[in-house]
Amino acid sequence: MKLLYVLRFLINHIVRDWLRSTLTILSLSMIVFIFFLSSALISDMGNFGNGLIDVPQTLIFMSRNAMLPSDSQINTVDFDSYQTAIQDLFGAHAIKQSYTKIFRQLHYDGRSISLSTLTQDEMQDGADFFLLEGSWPNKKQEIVVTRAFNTITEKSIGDTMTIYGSEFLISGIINSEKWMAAVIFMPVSQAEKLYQTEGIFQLGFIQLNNDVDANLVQQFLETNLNDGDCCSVYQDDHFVALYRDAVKGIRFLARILQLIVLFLIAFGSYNASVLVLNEHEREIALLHVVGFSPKVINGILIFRLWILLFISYLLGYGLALIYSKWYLSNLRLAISGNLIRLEITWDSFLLGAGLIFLFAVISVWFSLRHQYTKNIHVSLQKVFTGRVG
Amino acid sequence: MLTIFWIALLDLRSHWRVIVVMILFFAINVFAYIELTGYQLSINAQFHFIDNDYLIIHEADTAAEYYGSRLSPIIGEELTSLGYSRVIPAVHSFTVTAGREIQFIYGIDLEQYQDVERFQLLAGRALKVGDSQRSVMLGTLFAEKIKANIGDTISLRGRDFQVVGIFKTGTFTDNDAWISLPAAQTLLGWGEDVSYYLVPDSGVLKTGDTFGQGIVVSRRGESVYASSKQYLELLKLFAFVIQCLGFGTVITMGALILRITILHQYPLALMRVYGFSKISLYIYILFQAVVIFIFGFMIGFGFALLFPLLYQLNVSGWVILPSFVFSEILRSFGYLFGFVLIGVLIPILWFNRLNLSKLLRSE
Repeated sequence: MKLLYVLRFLINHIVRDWLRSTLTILSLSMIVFIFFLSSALISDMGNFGNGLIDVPQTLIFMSRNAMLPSDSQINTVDFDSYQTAIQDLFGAHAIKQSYTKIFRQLHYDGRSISLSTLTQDEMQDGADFFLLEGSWPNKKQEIVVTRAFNTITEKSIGDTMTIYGSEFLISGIINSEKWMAAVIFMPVSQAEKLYQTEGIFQLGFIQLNNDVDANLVQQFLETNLNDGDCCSVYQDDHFVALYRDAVKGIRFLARILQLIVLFLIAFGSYNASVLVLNEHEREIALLHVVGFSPKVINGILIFRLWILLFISYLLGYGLALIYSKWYLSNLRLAISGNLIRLEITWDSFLLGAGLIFLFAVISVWFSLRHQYTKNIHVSLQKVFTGRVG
Repeated sequence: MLTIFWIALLDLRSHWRVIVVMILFFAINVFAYIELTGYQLSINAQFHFIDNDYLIIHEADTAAEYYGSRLSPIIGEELTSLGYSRVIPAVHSFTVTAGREIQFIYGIDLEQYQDVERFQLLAGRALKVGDSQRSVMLGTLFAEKIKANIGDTISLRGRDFQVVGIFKTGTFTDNDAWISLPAAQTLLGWGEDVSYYLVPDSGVLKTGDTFGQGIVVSRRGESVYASSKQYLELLKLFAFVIQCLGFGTVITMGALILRITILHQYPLALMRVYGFSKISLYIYILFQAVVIFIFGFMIGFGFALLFPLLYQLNVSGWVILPSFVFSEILRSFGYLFGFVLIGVLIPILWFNRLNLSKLLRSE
């Protein structure tokens, strides 16, 4: 009952102060909006590379002299020798499956996009791809693209695109929770013809059975077959780390921005708190004189600031949601085929809410810390300052 | 007028805590805005240089002058047979060290590179015909990153090279290690292959022409600009965020000055009674905003200058240092001051709608 009474009192108080309250809410909501955008950017940069190669329990083979997968050139004989070596030492059942991929990094319309070969079975079994629209490639010069590719380039089913000087038709759009990057998939035979590299591929994959230790096999291959002729052996985390390192600078900038925003929210709530104290000095003094304890007055002021921050927070959150939706349908930025989604997550909502309420408590405490060192007669003096008679 | 300034300063002093906070608010904005503008300028300067005199012949769908293209030497012979007076082979690629640091390698034709590359030698000498294959010239950003000097031995992909010169081009090649073409081919294990061929734009081939399966002609500089475009677009998103931050700051400052004005409305009304004009009171409000802005600008600008010394932005191996140009700083000052003027409108409009009797009754 008491709480409702205080709430009604505070809402009246805020409404009576409508101009100042509106300006406070507007400025704080704009900062909250930026908090959500910077959180979304950090999250995007953190996920960078996740969608590129996600193949657990799998060894990936790449030419020893290659820096990136697209540089690599491996032939079937070399790759087979690794498979034989694994089976000799770890048993015939050590290998669950093996496959190879032609892999290229394309620059298409100013964007970096990956091109890869995978059979329909590999796409469905290994990478969990499912067809969203259209059909799997079943004619010459047909390709399928990921949802991210479709979003970034706006190329859709029935559209054609030139790859390495040849025209290709997009026959389907596929999606997978594992592969979030923009990738073009084409059948092996087409890729071999396009790049004139029969029997040569960029990456070899050996998926091990679950009872085999992938780290142990990798170590064995590196120490025993390290003759400098063929391949380096990696696991998927190597590639993810390589791509993440490429954007760590941008991630750092986004973190700085978020830090700045957190400072500004703290400053904003401190400002609001100090000014409310100055503007309502007499009311606060009166409450003190009529017997309200400093603790209760603190509580009332914190509650008042919470109401303002809560409204600002919801407004900023709403703005961020609207902008995020507009951004995804209009801008669609991507770095190396990784779409920057600017998704506003519940995690950031809860984190922001927690921080903002904490700031309110600290701000009020900070601004009021000298207030109650005064005696009641000093407070009374304040009530009558400037009054005549 | 001096009295107005003096009163404005005294009123600011009486609320010094919130004023300090507001100055910091502005400083943060100024820092973010100037730093971001600096990065945009720097990226534009480093990656946007289209050379109208030369074409490059490279593998299709690649950012050849940066990475990804690989051509057989047969292409060079075919270009010579087309009648080109000069066909300059080049290798541009990168290697990744064990610590995942990226090193950019530019393999240059020692006989011809000085005719097509403009660079300022900062220390040592330029590479010349007859130099050892293990001699290297370093771009200034790369040299700074690995703290290398003339005569030092550095490691490129596990091989030792001796530094003979340090140069500056003002473009992304300041991140490069320049070595002879054969040295680059050996280092990368490419045999006789190159990344691209550079030919004069004499009209034989045109931008957009194809030159056999999967080989295209483009203007020199285009492929690098294309590969940096994605980062420029991202910086535009950052710029939007910072503009929103500016908007938030303007409202905060407007609200702060309004609230200080409201707190002092009675003394201000008395000033009107004593004969100060309305304009004087607008100046009182504007002066407070200018004081906050100037202090905020100075602190923010100082920190913007300091930031690159504390942190170097590294994107995909490129070190990007913000570029501070006087005209741009002046433009930023004007732009941000424009925001201040908008913020000041809030208290001025509020003050303007109240008449003197209302103001006097406020006490």
